[in-house]
Formats: sequence, C-alpha cells, structure tokens
Amino acid sequence: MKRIKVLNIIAIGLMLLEVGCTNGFDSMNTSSTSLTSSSLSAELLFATCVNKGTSADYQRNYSLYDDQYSHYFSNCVQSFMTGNYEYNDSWANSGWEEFYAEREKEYIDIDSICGSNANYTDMKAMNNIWNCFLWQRVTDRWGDVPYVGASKGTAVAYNSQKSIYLDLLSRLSSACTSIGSNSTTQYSPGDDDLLYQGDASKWKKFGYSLMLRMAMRISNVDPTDAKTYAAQAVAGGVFTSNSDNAKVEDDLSGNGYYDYYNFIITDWENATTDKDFMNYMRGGTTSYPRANTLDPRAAYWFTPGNNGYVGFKNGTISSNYPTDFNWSDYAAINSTTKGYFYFLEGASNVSRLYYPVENYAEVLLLEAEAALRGYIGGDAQSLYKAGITASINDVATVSEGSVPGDTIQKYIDGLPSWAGASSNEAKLKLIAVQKWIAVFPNSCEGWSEIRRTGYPDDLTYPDVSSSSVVTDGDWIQRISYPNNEYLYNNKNMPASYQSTSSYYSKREQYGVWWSLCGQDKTLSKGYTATNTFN
Amino acid sequence: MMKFYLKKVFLIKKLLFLLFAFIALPVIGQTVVTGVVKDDTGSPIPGANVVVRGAKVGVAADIDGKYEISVPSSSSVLVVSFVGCTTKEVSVNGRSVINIILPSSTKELREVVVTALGIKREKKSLGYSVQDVKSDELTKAGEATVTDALQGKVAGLQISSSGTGAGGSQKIVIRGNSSLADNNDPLWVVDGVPYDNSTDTGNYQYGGYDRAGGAFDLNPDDIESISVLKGPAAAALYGSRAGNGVILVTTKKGGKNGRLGITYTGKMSVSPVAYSLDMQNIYGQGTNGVFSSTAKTSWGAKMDGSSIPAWWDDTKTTAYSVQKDVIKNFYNTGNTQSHSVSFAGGDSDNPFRLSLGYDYTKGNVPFESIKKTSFDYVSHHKLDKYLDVDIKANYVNTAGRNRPLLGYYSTMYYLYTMPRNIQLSDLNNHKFDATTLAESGVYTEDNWATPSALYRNPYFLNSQDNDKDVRNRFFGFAQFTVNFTPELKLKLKQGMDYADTQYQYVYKYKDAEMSGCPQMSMTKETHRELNSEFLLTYNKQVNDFSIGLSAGGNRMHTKTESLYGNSGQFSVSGAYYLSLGTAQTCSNTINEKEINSLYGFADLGYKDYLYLDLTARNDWSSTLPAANRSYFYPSVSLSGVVTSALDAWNVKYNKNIFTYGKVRASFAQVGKDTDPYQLQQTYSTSIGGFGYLYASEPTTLSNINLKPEIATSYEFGTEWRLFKDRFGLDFTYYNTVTKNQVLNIPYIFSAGYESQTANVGKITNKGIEMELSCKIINTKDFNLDATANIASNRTRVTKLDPTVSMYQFSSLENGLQVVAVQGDKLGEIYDYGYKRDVKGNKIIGSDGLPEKTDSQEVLGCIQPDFTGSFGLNANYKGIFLSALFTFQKGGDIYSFTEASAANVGVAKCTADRSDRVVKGVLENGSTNTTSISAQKYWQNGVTSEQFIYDASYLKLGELTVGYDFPKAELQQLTHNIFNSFKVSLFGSNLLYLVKHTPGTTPDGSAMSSNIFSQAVDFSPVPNTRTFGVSLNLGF
Repeated sequence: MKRIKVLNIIAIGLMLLEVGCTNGFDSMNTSSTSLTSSSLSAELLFATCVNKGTSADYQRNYSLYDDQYSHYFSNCVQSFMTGNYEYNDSWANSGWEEFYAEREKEYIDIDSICGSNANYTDMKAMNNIWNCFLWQRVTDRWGDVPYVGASKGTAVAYNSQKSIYLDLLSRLSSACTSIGSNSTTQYSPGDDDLLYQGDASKWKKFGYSLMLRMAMRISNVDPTDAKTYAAQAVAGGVFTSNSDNAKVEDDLSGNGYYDYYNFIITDWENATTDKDFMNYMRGGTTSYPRANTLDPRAAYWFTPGNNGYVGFKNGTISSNYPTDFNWSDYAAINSTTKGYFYFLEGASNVSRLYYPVENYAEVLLLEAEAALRGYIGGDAQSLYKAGITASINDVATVSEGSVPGDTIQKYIDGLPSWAGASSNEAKLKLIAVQKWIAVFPNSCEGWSEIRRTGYPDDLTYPDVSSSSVVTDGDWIQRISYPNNEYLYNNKNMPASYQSTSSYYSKREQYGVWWSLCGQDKTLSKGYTATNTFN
Repeated sequence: MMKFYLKKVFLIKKLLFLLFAFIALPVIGQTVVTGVVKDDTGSPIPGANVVVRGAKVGVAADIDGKYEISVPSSSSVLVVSFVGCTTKEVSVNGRSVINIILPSSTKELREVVVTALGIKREKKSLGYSVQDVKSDELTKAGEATVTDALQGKVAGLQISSSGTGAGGSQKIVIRGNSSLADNNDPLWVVDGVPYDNSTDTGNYQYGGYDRAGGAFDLNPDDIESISVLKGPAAAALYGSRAGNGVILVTTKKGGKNGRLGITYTGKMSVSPVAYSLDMQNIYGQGTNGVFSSTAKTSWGAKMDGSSIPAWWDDTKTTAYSVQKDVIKNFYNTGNTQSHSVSFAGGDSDNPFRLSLGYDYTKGNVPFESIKKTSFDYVSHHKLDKYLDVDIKANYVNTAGRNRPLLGYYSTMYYLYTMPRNIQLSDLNNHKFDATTLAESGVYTEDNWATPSALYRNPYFLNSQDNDKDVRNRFFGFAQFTVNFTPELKLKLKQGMDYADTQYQYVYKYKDAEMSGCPQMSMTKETHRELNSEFLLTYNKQVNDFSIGLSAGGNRMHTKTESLYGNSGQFSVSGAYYLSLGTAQTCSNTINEKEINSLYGFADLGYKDYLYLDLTARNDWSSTLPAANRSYFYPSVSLSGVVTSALDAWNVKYNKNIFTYGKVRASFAQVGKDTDPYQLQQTYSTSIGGFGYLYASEPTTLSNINLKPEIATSYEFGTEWRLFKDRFGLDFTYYNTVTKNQVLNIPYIFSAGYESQTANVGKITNKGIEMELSCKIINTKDFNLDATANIASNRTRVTKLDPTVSMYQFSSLENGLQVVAVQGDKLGEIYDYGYKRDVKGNKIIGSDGLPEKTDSQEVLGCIQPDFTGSFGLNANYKGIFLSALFTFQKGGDIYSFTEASAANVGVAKCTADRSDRVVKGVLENGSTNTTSISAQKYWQNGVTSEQFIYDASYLKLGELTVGYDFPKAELQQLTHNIFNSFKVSLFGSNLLYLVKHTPGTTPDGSAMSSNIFSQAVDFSPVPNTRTFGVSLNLGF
C-alpha cells in the first residue's frame, strides 16, 4: 500500500516537471510578431521610403541644418548651436544613418522584389527615381560619400561626388525611358505611393524634372554633361503644371507622425522665421532692389508678428538678443484656415502640410537658367516670369486662396529689371533669388542653390561659435561626416579626412564639388567667386 | 542536436524513475531513530554528527537539528558529536525518538545561512562570501520595500535609487557593474524559486514613467532573512541568470508549537520634501538686468515686490517678488501607511503561515498614489515518513496612479527653470486658457510663457497626464520531498511566477505639445515564468568525513506577451475609452525563451574544519544558435576553519584572543545566454497615418554565431572573531572577468546598419569587501554594538572589440555621453570641457568666453572609490536605538538640473550678476582682459565640465529608537495574551553630513536606474526625508 503511494507521488512529481515542457524549443527563437524578408511586399516598403524620406526625424535631419542654412528659418533655442555653425554629432549623424540603414536598404529590397519581373518595370523605375532623389540630397549635404555597394553589410569606398552625379543622371535616364515601355499589366503600389498614387506617367515627369535639377546643379563644374542631361530632361517631358508637383502630404492623425513645421516652429518654439527671408518678403534690399510691397505669397506663408513681417536673425547668441525681445514680435508660419501651413488635428484630419520634393515653379526657373546658358531653347525671361507666376499661384491654391493675375504682374513689374541685368551673371542672380523664394520651404534645395550660385548675396552671417571650425568670415558649406564614419570606416574616407586633426578641422567650411567656391575650398561672406558661363 | 538532447533527458528521467522505485523497496521496514540535537541553550545544532557506534557511517542533523538514522538493532549506541561540544553516547534502548543535548562553548560557530537552491548551510563550511540580513534588521527603520531595507546592510551591495519618488526603480548591483548591456541586476529567488525583478521603467530623457521592479511586491514583514550570494561561486548553481549574484529571500514559515500566533505590524510615516536645487533669490524675469514680462529667463532686474502686468491678463497685475519655496510648495508631503497581519500555526510537522498586507503611499506629486495589497500562504506537510510537501501561494496587487512624468518635459524641469518671481497660485488659477475656453469650450493650457515644450504650466500637466497601472502577481510553488532513506532524498519542485500588468495613459485635454490629444493608450502585459526542477541528494557521514552529493535539473520557461492599444484623438471629451478614439491602433509583441539545465554538486567535509564544494552545471538555451547553445561551467570552493583545525591538531593558542578563524577560497565560472530573437533579421510593421501599413528595415545586423557570455572569477576571504566574539572581521578579495558579452555595438552606418550584435568585451571587476563588528558594551542590561561594511570595487573595460574602442550607454540631448572606453574604468562621463594650455590655464576666446575643448573628453566617472555603511545599535532593557550611516567616496555626477537652471539665471551659482573677466589666457598666451556679463558667461561660456560634481557623501540613512517589551514580563503582565510588543520611531534619509552637489542629492537624483542615469542629476522629483512610527504586536 505504502509502496504504491510512494510510487504515485514520484509519478506525480515527474508529471509536474512536464508541466513546464514545451515542444518548440528549436523554433522558439523565431519572433512571431515581425516579418522576415520573404514575406515583404513592394508597397509596404515604398510607403515607408517615400514618407520617411522626407519627414523622418525632420528636426534633426533638416530643421537644425538646411532649414537654417537656407535662411528660411532661424533657431530659437540657445543650446542648439547648429545655427552658430557648431557640429553636433548626435544630430548630424541622424540623416546619414537613416539614409544608409533604412532608405537605401528599402530601395535595395524593393529592387530585389521587382527583379526582372516584366510586371514590375514601372515600379522598379519609380523606386529608382525616388532613390536618385534621396541620393542627391545625401551627396549635396556631405559631398563625396560611399555610394557603389553601400548599405549591403560591408564597408565600401567613398565615391567622388562627380561620379555619383553622373551615375544618378544615367540611372534617371534609364528609369524614365523604361516607364511605360512594357505593355504587360503593371503592378501598382496604389495609395501606398504617397507621391502620385501609382500614376507612373507622373513619376516619369518627376524623373525628368529631377534630372533637370541635377543637371543644372553641375552647370558650373561640368557644363558638358549638364547640357546633355538638361536637354534630355526637357525633351523627355518635365512638369507642365502645378498639378504635377511632387510633395509628400503630412499625416496629422497622431499615428506616430508629426506635423513638424507646426511642432518645431509654433508649439515647441524651437524655430522661427528668418530675418533674411522675411526681408525679401517685405520688399527690396540693397542688393536686390524691388518695389517695397509685400510678396503676394507672404500672407499665405506667414502671419505677421508684433513687428510685422519681420524675421529673427539666425545664430544670434542670447546676450545679443534685443532687450525686451519676444518671439511673438517676429512673423510666424501661417497655420490659420487660409494659411499654407494650416492643419487641423484629429477626426477631420485636414492637412495642408506637405514635405516639398520638387515643384513646377522650380522646374520653370531651372529651365530659365538652362535657356540662359544655352542648354535648351526657349526664352529665359518668359520662363523666369512663368516660374514666378506658377509659384504664386501654387502657394495661393494650396492655401485655398488665389492671387489675381494683375497682382502677380504688379509684383513681377516691381522686381529688379530683367532688361537692366546686363550680364548672364546678373540674370542668373534674378533667377536664383526667385528660385530661392519659389522652393520655400524646401530647404535642401534652398541651401544647395545658395552654395551653388552664391545668391542671394546679402544674407546675414550668424554669430559663429568659437567652437565651430568655420572660420569667422566663411560660409558654412556642408555637413561634416559623422563621427561614426571616422571611427569605424576611417580607411575608406577621402584621404584628407583620415587623420584626427584633419577630420576635426576640415569640416563645414569646405565646399563640395559643385560649390561656387570649388571643392575643398572656402567661400567668404564677401563673395569673391562668380558663376561660370560658356 | 536538440532532439538528441530531449531524448536524452527523457531517458534519464525514465532511468531515475526506475532507480527510485528500486531503492525505495529495501529501505521500507528498517528500524529508524529520529530526534533533535540541541545545545545547552536549547538551540538546535544543525550538522551535528550522529553515528552508530562501531559503524563507519552516520548522518548529519539537518538545519533544525533533526536527524534520522537507521540502526541495526534496538540496543545500538548512538555517538553524537559536534565541534566545540562535548561528544555524547546514547543507548537506543528500543526508543524510536531520542532528543539529545550537547553542551556547547561557542554558538557562533553554527551560524546558518541559506545558499543556492535554498539549501541551508553552516556559514563556516562555505568557501565563498555570503552575507545575510535577518528580519529584524530589515524592518527596523520601517522601509516600505525590501530594496530600501537592504540599503547599507551588505558590503559590496550597491543600491542606487532613482530620484523618481515613491515606487520608483532601484538599481541593485553586487560587486560593481560588469555588463555593458546594463544588465547588472542580481537574480532574486524567493524560497528557492526565481522571482522576477525586471524593471519596467519605460522612461527615458524625453518622458515616460519610472516603476520599481518586481521585488517591490515583496512584503518586508513576510521575510525571515535575506542572503546575498555575491560571487559566481556562490551563485553558480543558479546558472545563466546568476552571473550578477543572487538575492535569496527566505520567507517566514509557520509556528511549530501547535499554538496559533497572530502578529500585527503597522507603520505610518511622512516624507516631506527635503532636498532640491539651490536657487538665487534676488533677480527675476528679464534679460540683461532689465525686467521683461515676455522674457523666458531670470536674468532680469532685482525683485522688489513692485506690480507687474499679470501674464494671464494684461489688465491685471501681480507682484514682482521672489517665490523662495516653489518646489517645496508645489509638492505634497508624502505619507505611507502599512498594515500587516499574520497568522502562524500548526505543529512542527505541519506548520503554516498566512499573512495579509496592505500598504498605501500618497506620493509627493499631487494625486500620486501607490497601493499594494498582498496575501501570502506557506505550509509544510509531513504526509508520512517518506514524503514532505511544501506549498506556497502568494498574491500581490500593486496599483499606481499619477506617477510623475519624467525627463526634459517633466513638471520638475518646468519648476526649476521658471523665473523666480512666477507665483504658484497664479499658475494654478490660470492653468487653462480662459479665452479659448470662453470661445470654443475647449480646455487648453495657459502659462506664464506661451506654452511650448520648454515652457509648460506644471498644474496643467498634472491635470493633463492621467496615468494608472495595476499589476496582479501570482507566485508560488509546490514541492515534494521524497525521503527514501535518511541519507537519500529527492526533491521535485514546480514554481510559477505570473504577473499581468496594465498601464493606462489618458491625456484629457487638447495639448500643443502632443499631437492627437485628447487621447488614451493602454498596454496589457503578461509575464509568466515556470521553473520545474528535481534534485536528488545523498548525505552521509563516514568517520571524519561528511559527504553530500546532489544531482538535479531545471527547466525554465518564460514568456512575455503584450498588447497595446491607442485610441487616437477623441472627438468628444469627458469619456475616455479606447473604442471612442478616431484613429485606433493596436500592436502586440511576444518574447519567449527556455533554458534547460542539468547540474550536480558535492559538499565534502573533513572533521568540521575543512570543506570542499564542487559544482558543475550545463545549460541549453533557446536563445543561442544550435551550435553554441549548450554551455558548461564548474566551480570549486574550499573553506578551512583555522581555529577548529588547531584544536584538532592539539595546538595551543589563546582562545580568548582567537575565538574563531577561517580562510576560504573559490573559483567559478558562470555562463549566460542572451535575449530571444537576436539571431534573425526581421522587419517590424506598423500602421501609418493614412491608414497604410509600412514596414521598417532592421537596423541591427544580427549574428548567427553568438556565443554564451562567460564570467570567470576567483575569490579569497577570511573571517575572524576575536576576544571572545568582541570583534568580528570578514574580508574578501575577488576578481571577476566577464567575456563575450552579447552587445549591440556601433556598426559602419554607410554599410547599412546602425549596430551589430556581437560577442564583445572583457570586463574586469576587482575589489575588496570588509565587514567589521564590535560589541563595545556587552552586559546583561546594556548592549552597544557597532558594525561597518566597506567595499571597494573597480570595474575596468579591459577589451571591447577590434572595431570599437568606445561603447556609449546613452547621451543627453546636449551631447554629454556616458561611455565605456577600452582600457578605462567603466562608466565615464564624456563631453566637452574647458580648453586649457599646457600650464592648465583656461583658453579664452577674443569674445571673452572660455573655449571648449576640440573634442569630447573624459570629465568624470560614475564609479566610486569605495562605498559602505557604519551602524550603531544600543539596547538597554528593551529600549533600543540604532543609527545607520551610509557613505560613498569618489565618483562623479553631472548636474543637468543645475546646468538647466544656470542657463536661465535661476540657479544659486548665478546670484552674482557683476561683469567678470574670466581667468585665463588668450590663444597667443596673453592674459584675458575682456569683461563679459554674468548672463553671457552662464549662457555661452560654460561647458559641461562646470557642472560635474564629486558624488561623495556621508549621510545618516536610518535612525530608529524604540522599545521592545521583554517577552517573559509581557506574557506575565498580559496573562499570555500578548507575546510581543514593540514600538519604534524611525527616520530615513535624514541628514547629509558630507555632500558636494548644489542642493540636490548625489544618490537620489537620477531619472532612472540604468548606468547612464546614475551619471546625471536630473532631479525628476525632489528628494525627501522620512519620519515614522511602527508598532508590532504579537498574540
């Protein structure tokens, strides 16, 4: 009897041990709440790539850098020293890291899903065009960067900016040609294409418009290729109206995305309008004398501060603030119902906020310059005027308003005279200043074109921090390579950045390949260099 | 591979089963004698040897002095002996129960501690350091949590509280940080079953809430003792998770005298705000010395009490006068009450204990509260002479409400950066924008400065953030002990630790700083850990040798599942539930892992003075690749009781001087696995705002060849009691090398990954620990004891990785990092300092401002030189007084609190507003003569170096005074109604005798409990002092 009891107890005990037993020991270490590469689809990644390509981490990627260096917005927080040309690695590396660790890999994955499948010809081309757009931003900000073979798990050499540009132009050419070339039914990402909802023909126009942008960027340094591609782009078909504009709508539903302009500028009070841009909004400047009337776009973009349409000088250290200063003295972005930055959160989810990619006005002004340089036919002056008109109409339309034609004409008439511009350089200045205004708030383009053309030429120089490597008197020309590259990929960096001293000293003051000052050279606020025409 | 293993385990189980059945047969029916061996004071003598005369083998009494021996005939004679006691011979004379008393000389010899797997051992036989704390010491100062109560009581156990107030997390580190992954928590084990203490803080510098780990659920009044197993040798049997040491909690068991004992313990305490940043009280809102109602800083004119325009209404005025105690006045005085009733009963074979506990803490933050209700049941059942059953069931419900929101955007930050003239009553009366409310009926924030991320109204925030959390926890086990023979036992145990936790956040109003408000979110998380184990032990006394052999196995399975839901914005206000939201989203995660283990150990003793322990364990973890998932690790430890050996060898020495002496040495390895899902790259998915689904690329390069982490250590120690126990000394030296830590280290961004998972590093921890005790006065009526614990640990990063020479724990927004640099001490504070010339002069720019160094450099290190405590205990006829001082020497802390307040002219260091010429030289070597304003200096001239403070401190941590009614008198007086009556007044965190930080405390101002947070004074909520009264009544 007792024996049975003991045996029973032992049996119960062993059974207890089995309670914890699981059969899936070998398969247990596979996550059941995330996808593996075999279950991916193109649209899952394409939506991510387009959305995040323009908006992700907007503050660290753009607001603290391009937004300020384009003189569109100015910094309000003393400890954010990027406006004073200081380097902050944890911010500066963010855009670099996101591009290489996410955007480029999304491109690679989508490209691999498309493969050589005839149904994916258009998708493959759209993916390529978007990738070229992102690459241009990367190389414009950092110069020579790892390009061929990047983001595939192993370190690769840096490529020259020139070779990257030429490759991007050639890729755009192939992509634009291939769109619509295949008669089989094409896969469409549908609404997951946040730019054109799967309309491949619009992507083709965007591809050529981007080609034109890239071509004009290199016009000072590689006029031959610039001319070839500018001509090819215009012949291929660039944007023909504001309805072609490439922009990514912001999402305001509170599902993880922010309306960064309103947050950074209005709610967080981290940035405000820039003195220089507002000067050009209000009227003429010494260097750019125009009728002292308010730019027709100003009231859509901004609301006046206590001091009217006045901006704050970027990079002012606080002890140089005016006594009794108040942020509300300065103009703010217009978030009212008739404003360009209007947004309404929540249930109604009304959004008028877009991350700008490329607009029709920019394309017309690029064409004006191309015509001026003789790359394409057409009349530079009328393209220039059409560009201004397109921009004003677009800003008004987006803001659900309108600007009468005679108001536009009056504005154009008040501008410095085209006829009075005696040289190509002088005409280029007119185009460049208007393009700087027309692409607002696309600060990547704004800053790049200032660096390429040197216009506007009366921008305000910040209080440069003594901890910045930019020499007092030089303009900022680029963003430094992140410490991560210096620490872990040193041997692949351009030779002149490999030593500690050069890495820490050769930074933001040195131009990229297409800069007006020339590669690895500096440009002083006195503007000694001019553009090259031939 | 794994199938093989499983088959093997199954086979072993089958064999064991047959073996047990076989062994069980012949032993049934033998003559067995049982009894208890006690000393002349009536205390049981664990480990007393009981041998049948003439036979070579015997048994050792168990921890309660109980023995059980088979005798060949009813006329056998038992020889009972124990070191330091007179050996006795007793005839059996046909009796089956024989209780024996052995007169003893030094009872300290038989100090018993709980060791790995819950095995009680005599402390003298251990070759490694174990320090234990008894219940009296734990609950003396009325601490609400076990971790608070352990503070300062164990050498080398460093407890850092975060500064997040009641119910905040605490970091417990034994012998220093050894993990770069910041996973330095020791394993908690309650009555032999692992007890989850993972901290679900979820907070970081941009927000979140800090919550205590699971050990918070333990009711201090249920605890009998806590043993701290410090080194790997002590902990080796617990395997993977014990690499950072083990905290073994033994809970109280039932009564043994057949009488129902009822005990009530009650505590009440208050915690007023005591320590916060020093402020200047002269200058108010403005800039450059001029008052301005729109300025965000306190760089204005002297506050003279004049009328200034009211910030909420231009037509009204308010006073321009200093608000000295803004922080003290904003926060409440916290208070805690706790009640615990226990019932203990049963007889010595079937004891049980039942306890009920209730704690309620009203936090310092308005509306903050934490409530804990606990139930604990434990019983032992001796079913028959072969079978014992132990059962424990524990249920705890912990509910938190309105825990403080932390980080940059926290209430505290807004309070200590606000101009000095802003009045709390104004902020409270005008937290809602009256204009918006009148116009649209929407409650929005109003503040002294337009509400933005940096300027918020703390009263609005308090009304806005409405968080609550509830945790239901079930913990328990069933244990069967099969006593085949007195020597051979089999223990089977099934333990479970289950918790479901629900977090809920409601943002009640529209909020400029957060999109989509009002909204709410809810997370429901369940965590379950099952431990199934068996242990077969065999104990035998052969002549002078005691032999203990054990073999066991454990299967640990853990699974955590969480479900998250967010409402999106509510279109109506006043009601808050998920399905009322307009953009509902949800997500879920699952984490699961299993470790299977087999282990064996041997305890060998010779003549009560030489002991050798050997252990071996093999683990199989599901988290490692098949080729590396099996790992083996051994330990060996040796203990020699010098004084007993000298006695045995008949060497004469002065016992009045050398009462007791022991030396010990050990070597051990412990292997450690990693977290689940580290081997495979996956894409996470979530819903985007337009309703589309998007996938995210993996940014960490996974590693399919991960290996287990291995910690190898050795330890030497010695213990002495001198002058008839007047002085005691316990000294330990240890050295631990941890290799192959699984870590995400930075990768080359342009190669496509932020980080890669790799086995890296070699971390060396070296240190000494010392415990000292002294009976200063020892008379019948009056006792005065002093104790001290001192530990010094140095953690060095010997090697990181061939590609990475610096590892960053985390960084502040301003760039200050806490790092591990190859070759340096772990936990360095790294940022820009002042640029200096070769002579050490500061380099000053042409603008008169000091220049920053070109790159970030080491400004300090979190590691202290040594830490410790010093305690005094006095007792006069039941009146007792005890004081515990704790201290830290060395270590640095960066005061983010002061840096933020100095920038806006609020901190005390900015009280001097005169222009200044910063002492230093220009680049060309000439002396600086440029004068700058105080504002320019504090806003543009200071670097992080300015705010690095020495974190040394000495504080009166605990003070208790009370009266413990002598038991005999009490029983007589109350006709045996009362068994115990104890009342005491206690205080904790009372007074800093040494401290260098500017008003804040160096040891309680962190935002969380991780390595990074410990380097930064972030002052999440102000620190408090606690005063209370405690009452203990036993019936």
